Amino acid sequence: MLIMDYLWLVPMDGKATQLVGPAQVNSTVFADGLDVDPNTGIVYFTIASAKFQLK
Amino acid sequence: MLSFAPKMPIQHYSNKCSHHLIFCRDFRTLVESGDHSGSLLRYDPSTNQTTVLLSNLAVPTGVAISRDGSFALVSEFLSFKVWKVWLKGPRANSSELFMLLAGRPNNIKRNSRGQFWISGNSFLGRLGSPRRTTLPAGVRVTENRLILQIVSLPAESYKMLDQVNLYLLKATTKYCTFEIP
Repeated sequence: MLIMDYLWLVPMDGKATQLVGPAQVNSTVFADGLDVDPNTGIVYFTIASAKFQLK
Repeated sequence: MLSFAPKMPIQHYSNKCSHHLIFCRDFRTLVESGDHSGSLLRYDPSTNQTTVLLSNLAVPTGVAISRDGSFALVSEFLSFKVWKVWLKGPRANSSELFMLLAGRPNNIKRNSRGQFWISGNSFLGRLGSPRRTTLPAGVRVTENRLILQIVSLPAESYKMLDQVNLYLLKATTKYCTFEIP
Protein backbone atom coordinates (compact mmCIF):
# COMPACT_ATOMS: atom_id res chain seq x y z
CA MET A 1 0.00 0.00 0.00
CA LEU A 2 2.73 2.40 0.91
CA ILE A 3 5.75 2.29 -1.29
CA MET A 4 8.73 4.06 0.02
CA ASP A 5 11.39 1.56 0.86
CA TYR A 6 9.12 -1.46 0.94
CA LEU A 7 6.11 -2.92 -0.70
CA TRP A 8 3.39 -3.99 1.66
CA LEU A 9 0.45 -6.28 1.31
CA VAL A 10 -2.41 -4.96 3.41
CA PRO A 11 -5.45 -7.21 3.89
CA MET A 12 -8.63 -5.45 4.84
CA ASP A 13 -8.83 -7.21 8.17
CA GLY A 14 -5.26 -8.08 8.97
CA LYS A 15 -1.85 -6.71 9.52
CA ALA A 16 0.44 -5.67 6.77
CA THR A 17 2.81 -8.15 5.23
CA GLN A 18 6.06 -7.04 3.76
CA LEU A 19 6.35 -8.25 0.18
CA VAL A 20 9.56 -6.62 -0.80
CA GLY A 21 12.26 -5.23 1.38
CA PRO A 22 16.02 -5.24 1.71
CA ALA A 23 16.03 -9.04 1.52
CA GLN A 24 14.92 -8.91 -2.10
CA VAL A 25 15.96 -5.50 -3.30
CA ASN A 26 18.83 -3.37 -2.15
CA SER A 27 17.40 -0.04 -3.13
CA THR A 28 14.05 1.63 -3.07
CA VAL A 29 11.63 -0.19 -5.29
CA PHE A 30 9.36 1.24 -7.90
CA ALA A 31 6.49 -1.22 -7.80
CA ASP A 32 3.89 -0.83 -10.46
CA GLY A 33 1.74 -3.60 -11.89
CA LEU A 34 -0.17 -6.04 -9.73
CA ASP A 35 -2.61 -8.86 -10.26
CA VAL A 36 -3.94 -11.64 -8.07
CA ASP A 37 -4.77 -15.14 -9.22
CA PRO A 38 -8.36 -15.43 -7.98
CA ASN A 39 -8.06 -19.22 -7.70
CA THR A 40 -4.89 -19.42 -5.66
CA GLY A 41 -4.58 -16.00 -4.10
CA ILE A 42 -1.02 -15.77 -5.39
CA VAL A 43 0.04 -12.21 -6.05
CA TYR A 44 2.04 -11.26 -9.11
CA PHE A 45 3.57 -7.82 -9.24
CA THR A 46 6.25 -5.92 -11.06
CA ILE A 47 9.06 -3.72 -9.92
CA ALA A 48 9.36 -1.35 -12.83
CA SER A 49 12.91 -0.35 -12.06
CA ALA A 50 15.48 -0.82 -9.37
CA LYS A 51 17.13 2.43 -10.41
CA PHE A 52 14.31 4.85 -10.93
CA GLN A 53 12.34 5.65 -7.85
CA LEU A 54 9.00 6.94 -6.85
CA LYS A 55 9.31 10.48 -5.62
CA MET B 1 0.93 2.50 -5.03
CA LEU B 2 -0.75 -0.81 -4.69
CA SER B 3 -3.41 -2.24 -2.54
CA PHE B 4 -5.86 -5.06 -2.59
CA ALA B 5 -8.16 -6.99 -0.34
CA PRO B 6 -7.62 -10.75 -0.51
CA LYS B 7 -10.48 -11.67 1.79
CA MET B 8 -12.95 -9.57 -0.10
CA PRO B 9 -13.90 -10.01 -3.74
CA ILE B 10 -10.51 -9.50 -5.34
CA GLN B 11 -9.95 -5.89 -6.12
CA HIS B 12 -6.91 -3.82 -6.60
CA TYR B 13 -5.87 -0.60 -8.15
CA SER B 14 -2.90 1.49 -8.85
CA ASN B 15 -2.91 5.05 -7.72
CA LYS B 16 -1.77 6.66 -10.92
CA CYS B 17 -1.50 10.15 -9.55
CA SER B 18 1.85 9.40 -7.99
CA HIS B 19 2.76 7.26 -10.96
CA HIS B 20 1.96 10.15 -13.22
CA LEU B 21 4.24 12.44 -11.28
CA ILE B 22 7.27 10.24 -11.49
CA PHE B 23 6.94 9.89 -15.20
CA CYS B 24 6.44 13.59 -15.66
CA ARG B 25 9.54 14.37 -13.68
CA ASP B 26 11.87 11.69 -14.94
CA PHE B 27 10.30 10.67 -18.17
CA ARG B 28 13.05 11.69 -20.55
CA THR B 29 15.77 10.30 -18.33
CA LEU B 30 13.86 7.10 -17.95
CA VAL B 31 13.23 6.68 -21.67
CA GLU B 32 16.83 7.38 -22.59
CA SER B 33 18.25 5.21 -19.84
CA GLY B 34 17.72 1.87 -21.51
CA ASP B 35 17.00 0.64 -18.02
CA HIS B 36 16.73 -3.13 -17.64
CA SER B 37 16.51 -3.41 -13.89
CA GLY B 38 12.82 -4.27 -13.64
CA SER B 39 11.43 -7.59 -12.51
CA LEU B 40 8.32 -9.70 -12.13
CA LEU B 41 7.73 -11.18 -8.69
CA ARG B 42 5.41 -13.69 -7.18
CA TYR B 43 4.11 -13.62 -3.62
CA ASP B 44 2.49 -16.73 -2.20
CA PRO B 45 0.40 -15.86 0.87
CA SER B 46 0.30 -19.49 2.00
CA THR B 47 4.07 -19.65 2.40
CA ASN B 48 4.71 -15.93 2.84
CA GLN B 49 7.44 -16.19 0.24
CA THR B 50 8.27 -13.67 -2.45
CA THR B 51 10.22 -14.95 -5.44
CA VAL B 52 11.56 -13.29 -8.56
CA LEU B 53 10.18 -14.89 -11.73
CA LEU B 54 11.79 -12.67 -14.32
CA SER B 55 14.45 -10.04 -14.08
CA ASN B 56 16.28 -7.65 -16.42
CA LEU B 57 13.01 -6.25 -17.69
CA ALA B 58 12.83 -2.86 -19.37
CA VAL B 59 10.46 -1.05 -17.02
CA PRO B 60 7.67 -3.59 -16.61
CA THR B 61 4.69 -1.42 -15.81
CA GLY B 62 1.80 -3.85 -15.98
CA VAL B 63 0.93 -7.44 -15.24
CA ALA B 64 -2.29 -9.38 -15.71
CA ILE B 65 -2.97 -13.05 -15.10
CA SER B 66 -4.93 -15.14 -17.57
CA ARG B 67 -8.36 -16.31 -16.52
CA ASP B 68 -7.16 -19.86 -15.85
CA GLY B 69 -4.00 -18.69 -14.13
CA SER B 70 -1.74 -20.48 -16.59
CA PHE B 71 0.11 -17.43 -17.79
CA ALA B 72 0.57 -13.72 -17.20
CA LEU B 73 1.09 -10.85 -19.57
CA VAL B 74 3.79 -8.38 -18.64
CA SER B 75 4.28 -5.06 -20.38
CA GLU B 76 7.70 -3.52 -20.90
CA PHE B 77 7.35 0.21 -21.15
CA LEU B 78 10.75 0.85 -22.71
CA SER B 79 10.78 -1.96 -25.25
CA PHE B 80 7.24 -1.57 -26.61
CA LYS B 81 6.73 -5.26 -25.87
CA VAL B 82 4.23 -7.37 -24.02
CA TRP B 83 5.56 -10.71 -22.82
CA LYS B 84 3.64 -13.87 -22.13
CA VAL B 85 5.03 -15.56 -19.03
CA TRP B 86 4.00 -19.14 -18.33
CA LEU B 87 3.14 -19.65 -14.68
CA LYS B 88 2.19 -23.33 -14.71
CA GLY B 89 3.02 -26.49 -16.59
CA PRO B 90 6.21 -27.61 -18.31
CA ARG B 91 6.94 -24.12 -19.61
CA ALA B 92 6.52 -22.43 -16.23
CA ASN B 93 8.69 -19.36 -15.72
CA SER B 94 9.61 -19.18 -19.40
CA SER B 95 8.42 -16.31 -21.53
CA GLU B 96 7.67 -15.54 -25.13
CA LEU B 97 6.82 -12.38 -27.02
CA PHE B 98 3.09 -11.78 -26.92
CA MET B 99 2.84 -8.53 -28.80
CA LEU B 100 5.02 -5.75 -30.17
CA LEU B 101 3.19 -2.46 -30.05
CA ALA B 102 3.55 0.82 -31.86
CA GLY B 103 3.38 2.65 -28.56
CA ARG B 104 4.70 2.18 -25.07
CA PRO B 105 2.55 -0.29 -23.16
CA ASN B 106 1.63 0.55 -19.64
CA ASN B 107 -0.99 -1.14 -17.57
CA ILE B 108 -2.76 -4.39 -18.49
CA LYS B 109 -6.11 -5.50 -17.15
CA ARG B 110 -8.09 -8.67 -17.77
CA ASN B 111 -11.83 -8.33 -18.26
CA SER B 112 -14.55 -10.78 -17.24
CA ARG B 113 -14.36 -12.49 -20.62
CA GLY B 114 -10.70 -13.29 -20.18
CA GLN B 115 -9.60 -10.68 -22.69
CA PHE B 116 -6.92 -8.14 -21.96
CA TRP B 117 -6.91 -4.38 -22.14
CA ILE B 118 -3.44 -3.06 -22.80
CA SER B 119 -3.06 0.66 -22.36
CA GLY B 120 -0.28 2.55 -23.99
CA ASN B 121 0.93 5.65 -25.71
CA SER B 122 2.17 6.49 -29.14
CA PHE B 123 3.94 9.75 -29.79
CA LEU B 124 4.19 12.23 -32.60
CA GLY B 125 7.28 14.41 -32.62
CA ARG B 126 10.67 14.13 -31.05
CA LEU B 127 11.28 13.63 -27.39
CA GLY B 128 11.60 17.03 -25.76
CA SER B 129 10.00 18.86 -28.65
CA PRO B 130 7.28 21.33 -27.68
CA ARG B 131 5.23 19.98 -30.55
CA ARG B 132 5.43 16.46 -29.28
CA THR B 133 1.99 14.93 -28.95
CA THR B 134 0.96 11.94 -26.91
CA LEU B 135 -1.61 9.59 -28.37
CA PRO B 136 -3.01 7.50 -25.57
CA ALA B 137 -4.87 4.39 -26.60
CA GLY B 138 -6.17 1.10 -25.32
CA VAL B 139 -6.02 -2.22 -27.15
CA ARG B 140 -8.32 -5.10 -26.34
CA VAL B 141 -6.88 -8.49 -27.28
CA THR B 142 -7.76 -12.13 -26.78
CA GLU B 143 -5.49 -14.68 -25.15
CA ASN B 144 -4.53 -15.67 -28.71
CA ARG B 145 -3.31 -12.19 -29.64
CA LEU B 146 -6.35 -11.35 -31.73
CA ILE B 147 -6.93 -7.60 -31.59
CA LEU B 148 -10.60 -6.91 -30.98
CA GLN B 149 -10.69 -3.21 -30.36
CA ILE B 150 -8.51 -0.15 -30.27
CA VAL B 151 -9.74 2.87 -28.39
CA SER B 152 -8.03 6.16 -29.05
CA LEU B 153 -8.31 9.08 -26.74
CA PRO B 154 -8.20 12.75 -27.56
CA ALA B 155 -4.56 13.75 -27.19
CA GLU B 156 -5.36 16.81 -25.16
CA SER B 157 -7.33 14.88 -22.59
CA TYR B 158 -4.30 13.11 -21.19
CA LYS B 159 -3.37 16.28 -19.37
CA MET B 160 -6.44 15.89 -17.25
CA LEU B 161 -5.86 12.52 -15.75
CA ASP B 162 -9.00 12.39 -13.68
CA GLN B 163 -11.11 13.16 -16.67
CA VAL B 164 -9.32 10.53 -18.69
CA ASN B 165 -10.05 7.95 -16.05
CA LEU B 166 -13.62 9.06 -15.86
CA TYR B 167 -13.94 8.93 -19.60
CA LEU B 168 -12.53 5.43 -19.71
CA LEU B 169 -14.75 4.17 -16.98
CA LYS B 170 -17.68 5.19 -19.08
CA ALA B 171 -16.41 4.67 -22.58
CA THR B 172 -14.55 1.40 -22.39
CA THR B 173 -14.87 -0.88 -19.44
CA LYS B 174 -14.05 -0.64 -15.81
CA TYR B 175 -11.33 -3.19 -16.38
CA CYS B 176 -9.22 -0.83 -18.36
CA THR B 177 -7.19 1.98 -16.93
CA PHE B 178 -4.94 4.25 -18.84
CA GLU B 179 -1.91 6.01 -17.54
CA ILE B 180 -0.17 8.72 -19.40
CA PRO B 181 3.51 9.41 -18.90
